[in-house]
Amino acid sequence: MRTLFSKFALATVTAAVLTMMSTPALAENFAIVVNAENGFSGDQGTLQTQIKRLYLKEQSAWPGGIESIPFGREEASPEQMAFEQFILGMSSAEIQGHWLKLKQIRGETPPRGIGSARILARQIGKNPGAFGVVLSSEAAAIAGGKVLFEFSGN
Amino acid sequence: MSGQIKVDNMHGYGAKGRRFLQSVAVAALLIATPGLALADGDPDEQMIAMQQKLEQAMAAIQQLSSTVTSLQSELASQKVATTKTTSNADMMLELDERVEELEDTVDTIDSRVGSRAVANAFDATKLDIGGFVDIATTLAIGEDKTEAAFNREVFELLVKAKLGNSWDLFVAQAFIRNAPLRFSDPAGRRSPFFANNNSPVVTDTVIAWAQYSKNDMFNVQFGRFITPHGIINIEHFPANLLDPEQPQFLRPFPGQTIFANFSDGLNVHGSKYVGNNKFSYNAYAAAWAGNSSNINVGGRLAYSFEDAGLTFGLNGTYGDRSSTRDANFAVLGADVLFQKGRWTWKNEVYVTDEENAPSKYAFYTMPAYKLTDKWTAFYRFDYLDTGLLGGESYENAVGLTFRPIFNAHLRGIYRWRHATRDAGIPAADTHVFQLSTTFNF
Repeated sequence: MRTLFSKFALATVTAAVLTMMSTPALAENFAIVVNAENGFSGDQGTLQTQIKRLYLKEQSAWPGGIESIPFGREEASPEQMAFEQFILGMSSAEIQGHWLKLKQIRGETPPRGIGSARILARQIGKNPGAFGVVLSSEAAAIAGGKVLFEFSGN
Repeated sequence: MSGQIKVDNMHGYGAKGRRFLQSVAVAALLIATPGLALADGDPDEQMIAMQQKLEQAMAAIQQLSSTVTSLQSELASQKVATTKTTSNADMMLELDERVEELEDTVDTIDSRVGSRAVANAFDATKLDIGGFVDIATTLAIGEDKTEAAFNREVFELLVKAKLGNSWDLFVAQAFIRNAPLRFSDPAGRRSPFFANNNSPVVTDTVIAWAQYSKNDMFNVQFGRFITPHGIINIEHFPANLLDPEQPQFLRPFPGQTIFANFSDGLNVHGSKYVGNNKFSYNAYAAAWAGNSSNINVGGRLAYSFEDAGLTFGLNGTYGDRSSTRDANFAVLGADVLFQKGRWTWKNEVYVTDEENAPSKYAFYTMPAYKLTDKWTAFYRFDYLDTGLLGGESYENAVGLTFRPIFNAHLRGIYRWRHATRDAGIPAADTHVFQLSTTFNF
């Protein structure tokens, strides 16, 4: 009985450690960056909701009428994971389900995922309706872009 | 590297600083000394001494001035060098990152294309192709006999082309080998069998529309589109559905028990967010299957409370079911969708008013619970009364669905179908077990 208890305790601790190890570290700060000409503003909640609708293609244009060009980041990158968790508030399965539905009903596809922050910065600088997520430390260097809002990966 | 540069500079500034201070001290001493010397001694000698000291002071000042100039130029050159070094390093990093991204992109494209030909759209600015395969095997235990079959194989190709900034084209072409469960008693309820001989391979253009989009609020579809009523008919595709057997009022496929699954004509639709809520509408004028000479008009209004996860829809349509007889009809319906957290709950109800035929009534309620990201359990109660002899039936379905990967949807469903007793016709039960899978790409 005691051996059984010990094994159970060991298994529990091991599982907890593995879970902690597998949980991605999102302790960094992130920024949603838009083109410098983008005049949309509001409180954090309003901005976050707007970004979610545009990214999920529930809306195709910014409130000012500029066509939205959303960009994602590389799958499983810290930026994309933080974006999905804290801005979209959806699990990967829910996001995949959303795109499956839109693909079959309207032929819509998910936003392009960009690996390099600098290439994302160029796209945002070139397109008035573009936006994407970067590390806060990378945001200041984006020419032609500005930070819409920042959020914590905690 | 930059840290090293910074340390070296500090050493440099220290040495130069010391030299500067020494020079200032010497100059001060030289300037002060003649003043002190004037206090005593011969005036001529004193004048000569003063001149000498003045010359020495002038020389020291010149030396000091040249030292300061050289210090300034040295400092300026170091500043430029530091800026250049930082900017070059940053540029190198950026170039490295871009080259890496380009290499990744080229590698991805190469692995997809290799030496094969690249497909181009003739005129579209963007072309997306996808599709799915849906397969089902069914066991039906009826009142009179038991049947089993691999009764459904559907391949559907989806193509979306962007024709311009505001114009899109979407086509869903289906290749169907379908043997639906049929019943052979006078009301079509007993002795189930699979309609193998009656259902050869069918190719059906399920959807083919072109769309003009002015903005989110105003879009116009022309062509063949999914009749925009309710919840399940709009979701429509098996890959999206927990139960690929749609509710009774949407069977047979395609038919128009209450309304047709598909319409041919024009559909104006749009949506607008009002705060955290969303309003959407559809308004169409279209012909239905088997009745191309009559235009039906209808639409749907929906309002979503996003925070609560609730959507309410109102549906209505009016038209003529037949081109050969008087069969005007009107449909009124409502739908409620609750979708929050692990729960999804779909409900739809419809009632019709028919010319020269009894009214029809249909509803279903379908709660579903997501056990994990991959497993979902659901239940559906589905009622239909066509108003005709033996036309009342209900179904209870329970199912478990599994998505091992995003592109595959496996399901196990048990359905108990009960057709109620009617004048001269006994009740009939059928127990249907179905395994199905949908693969999409």
